Amino acid sequence: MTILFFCFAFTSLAQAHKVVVFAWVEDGFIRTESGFGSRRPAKNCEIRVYTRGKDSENLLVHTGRTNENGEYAFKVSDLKKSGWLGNQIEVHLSAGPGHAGQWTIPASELVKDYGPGSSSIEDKMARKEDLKKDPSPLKIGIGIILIFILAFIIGRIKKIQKKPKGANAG
Amino acid sequence: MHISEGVLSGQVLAAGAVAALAGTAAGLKKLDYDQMVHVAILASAFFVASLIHVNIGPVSVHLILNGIVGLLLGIAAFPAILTALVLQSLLFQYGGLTALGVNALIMALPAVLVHYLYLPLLGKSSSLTFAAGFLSGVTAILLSSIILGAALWFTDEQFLKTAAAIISAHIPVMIIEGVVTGFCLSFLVKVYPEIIPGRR
Repeated sequence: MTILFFCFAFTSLAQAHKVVVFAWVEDGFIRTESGFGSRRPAKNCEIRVYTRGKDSENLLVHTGRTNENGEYAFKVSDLKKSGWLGNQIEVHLSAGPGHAGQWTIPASELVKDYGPGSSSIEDKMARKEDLKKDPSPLKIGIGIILIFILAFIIGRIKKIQKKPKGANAG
Repeated sequence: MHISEGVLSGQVLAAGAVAALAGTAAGLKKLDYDQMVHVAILASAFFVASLIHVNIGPVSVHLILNGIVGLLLGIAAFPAILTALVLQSLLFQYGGLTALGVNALIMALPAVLVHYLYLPLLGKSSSLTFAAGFLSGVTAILLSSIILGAALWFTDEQFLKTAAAIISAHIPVMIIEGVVTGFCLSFLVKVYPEIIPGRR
């Protein structure tokens, strides 16, 4: 039973593939939502916010942890206390060994103050939902077709290479 | 098990890319025209496997299927898996493009190893075939977890602690992969034995 418990306790580390972190500015706050595609929120994962310093070095300006819903928010004014120069920021999510995601917020979004209900926020929410979606059947179909096309091309090349020399003579 | 962008160091990414290219070149050289349909089918299965989620208690994990791909293709698993990973990265954003080499090494090298370990068991009897499939699935995931831990270690993480955590996390995946691979192989030996290497 103990072994089973420990297996399940760590199984979240096997949740692989698409790590999504999305960040936007709303009402003086930088809000983030993180997850594994549309499946599970990235709970209790580390968020680190970087920007460029005076000498173009990578400067860590904020850290935090996501909550049970994979969300984390902090005030834009908190960045200023850590030496932020008003340029773009990168929000990095660390979601376990080998799994990370990042999102860039341009400087122009950080200086504007988008209130709730603005059309810009609605666009961002629509974009966030797009990112979380599972792959469409069309993309899956395209991938499978491309695999078979590539196999056909390689097969033709192999067949030509296999022909004995002089087979095309005369 | 796909490593994301920005996780590994440049040296690890470069070493992984070189090793994956070497494996892919060797695989392409060994490929036979008669094998191509099987390669395409198995590459497609690998490509789609990541979309199959299995709920285990509070979390959900996805299949990988590198065990069955490696058992049936051998060294040709390298180009098959690399192709599927490229398409997963481009179409689904699974794993980083710069980490493709390392991701390919993590999944394809164990696939090739299980081919040499368990192929002799295949087709001798139904129980041995199932055992070969089960062991292939388990071993492939176990070795993939170890290589993943090594890649993270070389990037500056504590190997034993990380590897232990990764292997523990993948134990349920190993069992599920083992069972799925065992059943798939048992089925294939009965209905399409030509897919088994040496029976073409």
